[in-house]
Amino acid sequence: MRKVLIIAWCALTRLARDKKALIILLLMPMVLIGILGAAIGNMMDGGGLQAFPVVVVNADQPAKMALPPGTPPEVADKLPVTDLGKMFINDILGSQQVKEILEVTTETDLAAAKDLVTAGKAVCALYVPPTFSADVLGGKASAVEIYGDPGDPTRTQLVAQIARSFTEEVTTASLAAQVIGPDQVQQFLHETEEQLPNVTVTTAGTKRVKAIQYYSAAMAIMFMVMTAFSRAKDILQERHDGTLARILVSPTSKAQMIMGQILGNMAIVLAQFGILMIGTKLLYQVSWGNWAASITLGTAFALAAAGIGTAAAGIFDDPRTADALTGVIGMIFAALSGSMFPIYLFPEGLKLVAKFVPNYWALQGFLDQMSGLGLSYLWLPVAILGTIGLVTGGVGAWRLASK
Amino acid sequence: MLQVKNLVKRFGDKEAVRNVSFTVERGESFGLLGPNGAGKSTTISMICGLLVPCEGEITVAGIDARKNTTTAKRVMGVVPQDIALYPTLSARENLGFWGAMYGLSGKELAVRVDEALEIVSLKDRAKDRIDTYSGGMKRRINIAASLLHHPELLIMDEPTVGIDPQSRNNILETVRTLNQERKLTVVYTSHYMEEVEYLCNRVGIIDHGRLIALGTLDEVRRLAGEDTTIRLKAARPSEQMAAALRTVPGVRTVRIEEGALVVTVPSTAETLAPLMVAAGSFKIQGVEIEEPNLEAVFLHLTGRALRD
Amino acid sequence: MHKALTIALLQLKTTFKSKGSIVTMFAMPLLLTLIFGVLTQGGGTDQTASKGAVFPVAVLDYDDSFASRRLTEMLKAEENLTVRIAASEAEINKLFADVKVTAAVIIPQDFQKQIAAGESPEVKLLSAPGGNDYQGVAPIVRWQVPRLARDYQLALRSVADGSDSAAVEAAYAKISAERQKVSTTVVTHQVTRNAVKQQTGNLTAASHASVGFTVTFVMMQVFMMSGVILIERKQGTWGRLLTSPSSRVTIISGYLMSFFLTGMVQFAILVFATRFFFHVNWGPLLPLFTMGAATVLSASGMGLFLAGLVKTFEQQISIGILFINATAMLGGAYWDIAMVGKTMQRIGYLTPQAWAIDGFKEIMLRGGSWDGIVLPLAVLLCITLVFMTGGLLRVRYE
Repeated sequence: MRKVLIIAWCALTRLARDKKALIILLLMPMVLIGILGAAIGNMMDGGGLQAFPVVVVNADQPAKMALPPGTPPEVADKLPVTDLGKMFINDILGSQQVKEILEVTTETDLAAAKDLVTAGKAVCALYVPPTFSADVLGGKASAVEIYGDPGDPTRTQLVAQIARSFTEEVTTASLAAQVIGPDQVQQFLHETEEQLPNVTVTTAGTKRVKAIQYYSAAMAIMFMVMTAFSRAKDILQERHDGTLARILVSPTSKAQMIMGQILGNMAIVLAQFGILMIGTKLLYQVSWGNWAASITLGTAFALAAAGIGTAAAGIFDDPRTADALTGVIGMIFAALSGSMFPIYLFPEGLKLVAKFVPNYWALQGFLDQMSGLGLSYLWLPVAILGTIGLVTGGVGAWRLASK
Repeated sequence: MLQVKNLVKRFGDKEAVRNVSFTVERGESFGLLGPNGAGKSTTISMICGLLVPCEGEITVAGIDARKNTTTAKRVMGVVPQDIALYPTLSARENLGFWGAMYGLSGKELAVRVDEALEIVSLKDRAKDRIDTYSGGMKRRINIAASLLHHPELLIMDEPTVGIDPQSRNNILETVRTLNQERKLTVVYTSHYMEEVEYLCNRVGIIDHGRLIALGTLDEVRRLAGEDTTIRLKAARPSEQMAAALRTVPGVRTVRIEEGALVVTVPSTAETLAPLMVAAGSFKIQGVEIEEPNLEAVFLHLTGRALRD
Repeated sequence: MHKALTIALLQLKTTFKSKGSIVTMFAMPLLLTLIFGVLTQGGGTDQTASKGAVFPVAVLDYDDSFASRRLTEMLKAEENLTVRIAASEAEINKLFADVKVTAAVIIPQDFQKQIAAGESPEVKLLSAPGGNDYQGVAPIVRWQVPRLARDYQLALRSVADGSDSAAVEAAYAKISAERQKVSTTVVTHQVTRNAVKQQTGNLTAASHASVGFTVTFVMMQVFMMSGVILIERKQGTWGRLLTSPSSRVTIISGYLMSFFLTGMVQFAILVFATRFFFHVNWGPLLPLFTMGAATVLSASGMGLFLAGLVKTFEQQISIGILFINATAMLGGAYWDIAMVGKTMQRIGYLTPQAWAIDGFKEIMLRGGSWDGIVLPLAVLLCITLVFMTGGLLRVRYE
């Protein structure tokens, strides 16, 4: 047993002196988590989008309600003028909220406006057609048109949403006019304003998981897998250099040696996890949830990663293959397990594949804990990860022994 | 101390070691000589338990090494052909690790590590990382690592490959001291004849997996024939000179080489003086006397040179 | 010149012979494009891309009234949602656990009654633990629910007091039909720069992924290759080259040529591979390869600069991987840079990737006219000049 510990400790010491490995396995995840958190976090947590330019062309002609023929002009004159286009520009686009997101300029010519978009000077052009007010008053369908930059679908979509809130109001008013009469519309709108249902957003757990928490977990997991493969490379390198053989020449059994390697793998991955967990907590204020739960989950994943690393050492022969695969497998596992892209968007087949990737279980486990879900949510990922670790570790040990 | 009987090792349908048998007595220094690929390392690997023989017996200090591998390993020290050390660890850390693998710990381990460093004269650089060492120094630590557990049998597999002459001499001296002063039994493999001739009292020559010669150094040397070679260096050796030398009684053969007349005689003592007289007028620039050596033996037995 | 070419070709041969290189140069970017650009988009057609992501949600209806059922139907009809009906909160939790839905809409009991009474019922939008995509679902639910409520209230007001539910329902149906007729909508079109036949539709996920990963992996390869001088120095071949009768200029030109050629070959192969496998149309070839060349040059400039600072090739590799990945993220290779906050965007535009991607998008979507790409080209060439000069100075003073 003592020899097993010594072999594991030796592995840990050697890794601690390998600057190249330390950069990739510790520095890189911390930096990437920071960037991801800052970049995506802003976006996903609803933070400050930079105001961007749009151009609006209001071709709308103000209109009055259609009157039966023969109506005296004085009555006609007293009727209110509806200028929906102007209302759109002043009340909606000119509102405080929207002004923070859109820098609105006006154009009189649609072609000129489109040119601004193609020149990259505006993200999109909004067009209120000339018969807009007239159509709405006449109870006909109409549309606000948006001409967007195809390279900027996100922001174009955002503008469309803003325009849609306007068109919704218009449609409702128009509908109300049809149904309860135009003179009732204002009152109706006013009353129902207060009475609209609330939509409250809550999360299934007790806490909302912030983007940076998500990426801390996802990246930590991805880099732990990479460490596993880096270890496989180290073990193969040892085989190549003759130090493995030297251990076997001493009165140390193969079993002790292999156990030592596996334990070394685990210790290294666990150390990495610990450092990343503490690092993200200190630098980025990431909460990992209940300490004990996180450490248990981290240990289970470390076991899985250690097992995979050992299996890789058993399967491959050339340390350079293992080295090259480190980045590849790391990224692929991460991609497939939903670490980079929300998993419910995967087609069903890929969702199934994801369940075979240990990253998936670890990530779900960590997210559950970060959401404040109870410890009962812990046992499934821990069990699965533990099993993966034991099975792959077993395969790896068997293959190493037979070499 | 070491008894190897009828060892056979096959890899697929290739026989790497064919029916090798030899014995090494306690305190002896045994050399295993042979060209690259002869089967030396395979034989050694079987003795130290890395490879399992297909057939044969191995007994180390009375222990059946095939049955009680772990016990046998405790009395053997192995210096592998690779520099099997961890480059990013210091010499002391390396030795500490390897000592631990042999079951040493605590104070005893520390003492042994110092002792081993002393033997290979590297105590002053003990704290430096192995990757800062020269090739020769690495090989010396390689040896140190095998001595920590005070083995009774030291097996060295080509321990001087690729290092500078000074380190090489240092290593040879160290091994000689270990063998003669500390009475450590040594099995030394090499393809350098001079090393084996310097260190070993008994020799085995292995070629293509088979032992083609076995015995004391003298016995084996004489397999090439009893004759000594006397080399007379001359600027322009001629057939005329050669003929003159052939008339000297006791001269067996004379041949001409570039810059020398090469004479073989059964006994230097009787023939040297008359030979010099006969060569009096030849403007001899130098005389070299070559006792039969292992190189010649190998050439004689196989028709090939020891070093390719 | 001939000697420089010889050096260049030797480097090329060494690179393309190595299996590891082939994996990192081609297999990885193509695989990642496949995963991120195609598979996870369920095909990634123009249609899918332009309507945006589709969110799976669950609906739990505690009220089971006319109004609540209508709401459910409206949600189902929404093209950015796929709806599953859940019977209980336990079932919702299971759906979350199985990652089948990202959010759940819970309609409270008395939903209809409260609307009729002029009270505000509370509709809950429950997001999956750890999920952030309620951001995409919330706006949709936030305008569907009021619309339903208003229409229902309109229906109530349009019938006489004391009418039975059947009358209300009929009125509602009429209103819904009427809504279709008077509906004012927002229609989105794409603007194209010229008549040149080019990619229609938005930047599909496959295109964006192709651009992002191609740029990243080409830059990574060139960046790391620039450190080859470190290997040669260690191997001794650099010293040997210096003792040969070739001038330093020749030697260095040879190396620079090799970086450039490797990068361009890799770029070309990836462009054609993504075109073949993923139907990505990169746009007209001349501006495309000019942009590609500028990207490759900027990477080799930076790589050479770093090689002058580090001691071993190992360091070049590890720092290179970190640097290129970090700048790729910042520069919008992995996600649309337009989506991040002000400061992050400004930082992003410090990276060559941001400019390269802008340039490629210009070529892909708007035909790549010269005044469109002149700015990114200029920036990239500046970066190249600055860093390469620095790097070469260091190489010279050895």
